[in-house]
Amino acid sequence: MFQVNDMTNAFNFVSELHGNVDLVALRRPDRSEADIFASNSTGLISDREICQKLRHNDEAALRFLMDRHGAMVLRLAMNVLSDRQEAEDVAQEVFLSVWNNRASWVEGQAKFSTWIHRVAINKAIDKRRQRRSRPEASEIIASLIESEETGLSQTEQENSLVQLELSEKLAGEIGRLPETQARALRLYYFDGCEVAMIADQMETTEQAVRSLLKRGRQALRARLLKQKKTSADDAFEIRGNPSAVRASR
Amino acid sequence: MTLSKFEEILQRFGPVVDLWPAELTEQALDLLQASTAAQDLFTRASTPRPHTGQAGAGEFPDETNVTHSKAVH
Repeated sequence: MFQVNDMTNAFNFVSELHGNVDLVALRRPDRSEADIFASNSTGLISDREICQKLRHNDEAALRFLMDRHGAMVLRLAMNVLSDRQEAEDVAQEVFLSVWNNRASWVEGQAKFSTWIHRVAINKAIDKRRQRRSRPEASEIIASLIESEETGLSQTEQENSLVQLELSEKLAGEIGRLPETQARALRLYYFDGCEVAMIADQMETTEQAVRSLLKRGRQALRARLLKQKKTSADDAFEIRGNPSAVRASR
Repeated sequence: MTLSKFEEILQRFGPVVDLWPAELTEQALDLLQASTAAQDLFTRASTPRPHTGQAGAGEFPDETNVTHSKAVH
């Protein structure tokens, strides 16, 4: 049997997004799987029956599915990713997807187990490919700064030390943006989330996320330009004032 | 990549993608994402086999176990 503790994060994740999941009821130590599905006289409840319960918003059914299929989902993801943390993320996404689509899930040609395994494999491959296509945070920030709007020269663009310094500065600036803009930017640039995923996590529309990203980028550019101008003014002041040059030494 | 080639990779290198030959990995992943048959093969290869404690080298634990179980029951 799969250890429930291994999937605690998944429960937390589901819970954060769907406050109606009753974790207390799910985790009651006196409430075993047998209790949860005591109404089943056969003693071995099928996935089909569990999914029916899930369709009726039965959170215990979700737990049962995680107990039953979590280990295999995790194993499939591990085989694709070879990274425990990423594999757990995939497992979370898989079960979140199960929960989100509980109302629309219809028995098709494939068994539930086959379906969930395929979802896990696809999500894991997507994540593996995201790794390669996802630039490092510093690269993203540098590319933002390299945009024509910031007016940086080619020499500056190629200077990795400058990029590093600006990256740190920009990371700090993101923290000063309104919370929703900062969150959207972090999810998009640092966590590599797609717009749809961010919308899901922030419980808003994709259009709203795009708007947050746009406004966030504009605010960042404005802040950076202001800082760049301030630095240039400071430099001019030092260059134009001999006493200031001496004072700066 | 063909399904039989994919199956050959699974048999030779196992289901851990990082152990596959680098030059074949992307093609194999493409097939794995596109083909439900490949996904079923991958799932089967990832499924832990029950430990019988009786199978020796060159034997097939799954089949041995099934036969043994039938004999017992």
